[in-house]
Amino acid sequence: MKIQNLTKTYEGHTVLENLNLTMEEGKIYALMGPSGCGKTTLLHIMLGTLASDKGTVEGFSGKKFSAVFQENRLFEFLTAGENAMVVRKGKQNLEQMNQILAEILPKKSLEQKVCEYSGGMKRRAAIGRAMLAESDMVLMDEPLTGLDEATKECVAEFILKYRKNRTLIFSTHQEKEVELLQAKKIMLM
Amino acid sequence: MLFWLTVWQIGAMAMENSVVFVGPLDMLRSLTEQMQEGEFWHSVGNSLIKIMGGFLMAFSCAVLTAGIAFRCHWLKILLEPVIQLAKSVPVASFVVLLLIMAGSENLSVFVVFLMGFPIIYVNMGQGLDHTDPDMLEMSRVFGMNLGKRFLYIYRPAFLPFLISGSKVALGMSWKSGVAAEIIGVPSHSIGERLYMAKIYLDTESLFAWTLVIIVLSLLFERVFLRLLEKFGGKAWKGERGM
Repeated sequence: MKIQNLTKTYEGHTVLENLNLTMEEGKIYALMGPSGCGKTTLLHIMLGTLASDKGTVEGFSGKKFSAVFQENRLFEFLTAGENAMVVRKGKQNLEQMNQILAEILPKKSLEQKVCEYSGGMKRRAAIGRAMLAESDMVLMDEPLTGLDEATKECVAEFILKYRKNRTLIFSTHQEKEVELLQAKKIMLM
Repeated sequence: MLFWLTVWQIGAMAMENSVVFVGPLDMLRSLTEQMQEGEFWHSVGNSLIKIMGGFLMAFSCAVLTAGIAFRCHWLKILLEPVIQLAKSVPVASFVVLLLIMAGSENLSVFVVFLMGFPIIYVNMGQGLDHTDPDMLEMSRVFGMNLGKRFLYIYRPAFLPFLISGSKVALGMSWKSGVAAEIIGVPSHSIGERLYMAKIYLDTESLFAWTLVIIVLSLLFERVFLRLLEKFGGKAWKGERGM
């Protein structure tokens, strides 16, 4: 996967300038850098939800994605298991989904709608959905932000367990998260 | 409720003029008498089928047209002046025009359709415009098909608007439908019975038929809105809150 001379400008402010990157499929990458350096923008360009002004992005088109967005973007009127089922294809088994999600969410919460969840629980539900969706690549925007240390470790274990050799690209500010997810660092300036 | 019924009965008794004003007891007596005639049910059935038929046609056409207009911007622009016109033309003008064009028998169907269509179309369109763009983006990323997008993203967005539009349109349906029947006087209809009540200064009948219209209107509104809410499923019960 290659990114060459990528440039993106927002209202006269250059967020990404002549960015060059090469990534291998099936590996884990952490996008790091200060706030406003273009981590979220880059993830959106990779997902195809944002167009770049200049440059090329190879190896992403035609791929099936799953993602964790900064704002979660969950169906608030459904449970975490139902959220995971909605984005999957074919017939699904809610019990099976719930069994897996119980590794990162309290069992009792699996009967509740997402709108009744706390911020941290919503984050875990969004991560669960992304990991359970059938995809070639998982992209996550600061997935562990807002979680306490113990939960971070548990969720990181979950991510690694259900990654199943898929490429995982995530953004973060913290070295600890890079370690937890055994990722290769990519610094954006 | 009981208080107001008592006030009404006392008022009627004080007036002592059954041509000008009747009380609830006289109204109920008149209604009971008429309910024993076959013609009563014939008129109720005819008007119910025509008015509700007109409403259901307006509902399905408006929902479908608003859905297409949401995808085809040119259609939305093309329809805008027509909808504005339909919204501002008085019911009476429609009634007279349709009376000339289509005759009196199915007049109420057309009038109800023309009254209901713009209300439901506008509300459905507003609902679709409220679809959350972030959720649509998420659905594209995950490769959700159109059916799922409709059920989980579009449906919760348009349903509150569609329900409130349907409430208004349903109320309008009975008012405009019966008004059209009074002007057109089609045989075996509620409008015809109201017209007769006017001719013979039969105020008891007028009140009795008005009660019939109110009950039918409320019943249909309850049933229809319940079905619409059921269609909304969890998305409706749990509110949107994306």
